[in-house]
Amino acid sequence: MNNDTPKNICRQDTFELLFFEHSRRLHNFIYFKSGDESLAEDISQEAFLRLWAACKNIPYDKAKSYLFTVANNLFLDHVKHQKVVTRFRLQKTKELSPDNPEYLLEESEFKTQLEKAISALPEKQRTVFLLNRIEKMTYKEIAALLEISVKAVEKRMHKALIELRKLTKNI
Amino acid sequence: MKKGFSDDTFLARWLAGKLKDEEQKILEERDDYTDYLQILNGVKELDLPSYSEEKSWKQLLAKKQIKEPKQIKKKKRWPIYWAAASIIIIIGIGIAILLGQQSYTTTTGQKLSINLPDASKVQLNVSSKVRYNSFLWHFGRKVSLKGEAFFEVKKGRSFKVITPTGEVGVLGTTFNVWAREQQLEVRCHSGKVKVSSAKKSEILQAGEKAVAKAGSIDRSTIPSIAEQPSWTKGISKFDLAPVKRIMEEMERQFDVQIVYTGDSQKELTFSFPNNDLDAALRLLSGALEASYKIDNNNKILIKPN
Repeated sequence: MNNDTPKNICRQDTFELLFFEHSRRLHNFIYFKSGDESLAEDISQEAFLRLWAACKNIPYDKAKSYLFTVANNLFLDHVKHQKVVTRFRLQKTKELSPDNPEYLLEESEFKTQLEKAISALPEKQRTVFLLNRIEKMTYKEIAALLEISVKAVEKRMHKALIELRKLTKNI
Repeated sequence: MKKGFSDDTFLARWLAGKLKDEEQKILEERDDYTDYLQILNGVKELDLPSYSEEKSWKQLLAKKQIKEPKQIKKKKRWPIYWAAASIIIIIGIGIAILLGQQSYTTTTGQKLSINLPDASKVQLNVSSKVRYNSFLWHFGRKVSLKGEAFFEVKKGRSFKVITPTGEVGVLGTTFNVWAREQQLEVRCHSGKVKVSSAKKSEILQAGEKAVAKAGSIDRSTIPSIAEQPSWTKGISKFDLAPVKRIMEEMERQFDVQIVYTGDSQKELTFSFPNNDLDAALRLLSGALEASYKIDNNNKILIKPN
């Protein structure tokens, strides 16, 4: 066993380090699950507060999984008692596109549909899909985070794409 | 009509670039291939709502201050306060010990009486040095001695005299310690005294003396011991002591130099007054059947007749 003092989470500077390392991804994780931005904000902060309260008992290298587990549990609790308003408002990044109004209109229409489709996806598929596509996490990383197999992640990805197509084509 | 896929991870493997060449070809020939591309492109351009870590951190800190349990705060500060306090205490004790150091030295021809913190008394003979620590006195009475001193020790905790040749351990007694020239001679005037030297020890009763030198201790009786040694009363007394020793004491008492051409190992029973050099020299020459001369440098030359 390593006798060196591990990074002590109870120190504010160490805790701050952890926060800046994980908070964005934690926030996005809950946001992808719920589509509810303020819920994501609340839950991720609550997860950090609970980590702080338990700081004596959590070693530094277990902090990340603790945070995500707590956040996930908070989300499940929330779902039990309240309906989650899933509305993805995904901002559009500026794209260099031909100055064609029709083209632009088509684009924005599609994007709106896509937003709706993403919101309508089952949560399991949506989370995996967005973690891969927007957070750029590999299937292996997602599997570790959600504590499922890589195969399960791949199945959910596959189903998500099929479902998105169905929803955007109004099939 | 929608075609199925060969398995339910096909599209996932496609996104990860893990399709075999034949599989890739099959995908590209599908009608819905472009639909999937469109979806991927659309998602690529989607962005997340603005999330500021800074802002979130500040909000978290605000919430944290309210929730922070008091114990954690105390735990963080205590080690620092305790460390600072202990350092101050250690420094304070160190200073007290340093300030407690007492040291008394007599030069040639000088005598001194000292009262110890417990009212025990030390009379210091010429050319002697005594040291003790008044701060540590309460933890154990310890005195170091070089030279000669007469101790009157009040009854109490252990009292130790430490000399280069050995230690004298006491409990309420009076005794004389002579510690010069790698020798230790202790004369017990009253009470009991334990003399230790080189892992050996002797216990002296009143009227006994011990001589410690070169790893041995010899105990013997003093024929008639006074209440106090005569040097405390101004007379140096010797009982069958070698002439060398008598002359050395004379040198110390009067701050002179004596050269003797006779046999300095001869033993004499002799006394001289500490305040009269001429009388002392006359008495000594008489006892040695010699004559003395004081030369230009104040050196005293004693020659047997």
